[in-house]
Amino acid sequence: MSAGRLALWLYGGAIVAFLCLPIAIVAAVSFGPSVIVHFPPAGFSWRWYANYVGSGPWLAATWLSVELGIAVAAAATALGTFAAIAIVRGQFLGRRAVEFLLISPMVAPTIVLALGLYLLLAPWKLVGTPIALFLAHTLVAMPIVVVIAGAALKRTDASMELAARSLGAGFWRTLWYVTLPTIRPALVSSAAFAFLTSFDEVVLAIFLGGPGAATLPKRMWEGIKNELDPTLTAVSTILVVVSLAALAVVELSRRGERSRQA
Amino acid sequence: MADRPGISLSLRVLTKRYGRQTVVDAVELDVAAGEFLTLLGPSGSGKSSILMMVAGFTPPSSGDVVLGGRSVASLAPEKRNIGVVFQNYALFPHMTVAENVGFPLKMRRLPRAERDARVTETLARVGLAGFDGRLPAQLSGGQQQRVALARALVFAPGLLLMDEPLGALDRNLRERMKHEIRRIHAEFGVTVVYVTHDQEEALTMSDRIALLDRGRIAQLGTAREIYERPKTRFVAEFVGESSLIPGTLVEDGGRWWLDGSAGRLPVPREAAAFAGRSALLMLRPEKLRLVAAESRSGVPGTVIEAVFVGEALRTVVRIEGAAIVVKTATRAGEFRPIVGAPVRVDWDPADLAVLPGEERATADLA
Repeated sequence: MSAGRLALWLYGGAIVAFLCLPIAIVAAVSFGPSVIVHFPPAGFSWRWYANYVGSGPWLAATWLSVELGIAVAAAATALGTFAAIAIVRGQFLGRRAVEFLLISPMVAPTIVLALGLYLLLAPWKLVGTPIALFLAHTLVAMPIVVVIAGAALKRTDASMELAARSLGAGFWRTLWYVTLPTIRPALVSSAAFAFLTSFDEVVLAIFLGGPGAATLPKRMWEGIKNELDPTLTAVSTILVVVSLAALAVVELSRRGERSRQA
Repeated sequence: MADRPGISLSLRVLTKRYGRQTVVDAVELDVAAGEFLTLLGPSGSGKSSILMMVAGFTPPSSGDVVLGGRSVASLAPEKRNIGVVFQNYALFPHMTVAENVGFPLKMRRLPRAERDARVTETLARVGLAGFDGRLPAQLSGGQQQRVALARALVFAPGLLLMDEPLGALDRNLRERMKHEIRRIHAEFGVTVVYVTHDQEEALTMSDRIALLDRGRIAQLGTAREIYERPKTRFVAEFVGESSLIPGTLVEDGGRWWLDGSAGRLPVPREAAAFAGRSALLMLRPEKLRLVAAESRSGVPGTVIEAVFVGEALRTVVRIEGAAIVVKTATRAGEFRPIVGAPVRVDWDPADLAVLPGEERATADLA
């Protein structure tokens, strides 16, 4: 191996380490036995996981986050896919403006969105309810769907949809039998990323959740503020595992599709 | 399907405008039931736009599409019962061959058993028996083409539209598919409107050709009429190779002549219609003969190029004021032109066509 290649490997390795070490340290600490968060851990125990599983508030927060994530994934994917079809296949005045508008929540500062949503939802007495979080998370997750599904639509051949029409399928049946199946991997990815967007979102959860709707990230944030309970590290590790699982779903669906079309 | 004959198609002042640009300009066309009609033209001539309007994918700006005596201009594409074959086949990648071909029957809510029977039968008729379970990605280009044909014909439409269907195939396969499409047309008895920019496809496959130029039909006729009796310079130049010699038509001694830069050339009797006006004499390369310079017939010139192209010898002869392309057989004993040597080009006036001349008509250098 030449010196240049070695340097490249070291450089790449350093970047990977920088990206992964924080997560690895938290995961390692979560298996430590001591009450004080300490690295390297002094031993191995499931103590903090047991603590998590036995804790009502932690479990309630987890279920809320999971339910919220699934609802957001479903709503954002449905709305975002229709929006992407309109933007990619449609021809109407102001198409580019609509596209920008739909993607804007992705670039707007979350804190500004959070404040705006708070002011918007407060008169409706929605702040502090899961509905507020559902609306807010769907808003920030939808642009991801628009981008991913839109890119997939641009790659598919529009004449396939014309063919379906000529063969006797109306708009809806063309959508159901042809358009959606051909972009299915993108829809799975979209749903997974929409889920994750909601599942690990903390700013909107703090602003809009209140005590009535404490998601997992919000509870963690409160836990960190008060005292550093080692249970937090166990929860963090679970959060990472769930995220990895979502990414695995995406990858598997892509591979499945490739082998079908190979 | 002889028991399901094709239906007639009529375009009535069909027009398509995009903003200030008119891509299809008041086209009038009648296609007879069971006919194979080709819309031929360069890109941007409006041929695909006509197809899109007939299929119902884009609404006409004005005018009407009449299918079997019934106006379909306001009908959604799924209600028109027209088969369409696309250049890239547009097969559904997530469906098997049988599912692709069965799709139009499923949309028509045919019972499963009947569907399967008709899919099997149609696949056999396009030469794809036994391919039912394959996915489109597992097929060759020619096979995909056949699936697309089967899918567009399985529901027995009266009209089949084909948009450059051979464009994506290699040369040999294209040759074979040309004949296959002709055979399928004859067997199914369906009316076909075929779009292509390839004049060879148009000439060999069509009952009639509509040659389009900037959104209008430049000429409508059989392959032979279009090739041998083009009405305009555009038609003569787009279809086949031709040499054009400008001049004025005059009568002298009971025969017609073209007076031009190349001297006085004999022309066919029909040219009388252009008497006294400027005209273009069109010479097709294979209708010309090369004769020795000492000969008394023909027009004198000099050989400036002679290329062996396989089935023929392609010779360019410079005569006074023009260059003429001559294609001669390569049989033994045929006259052999020598580059740089004098030669004479001869023809039978009946083999020529005369076109209206243009204001600034110039000799076309081939």
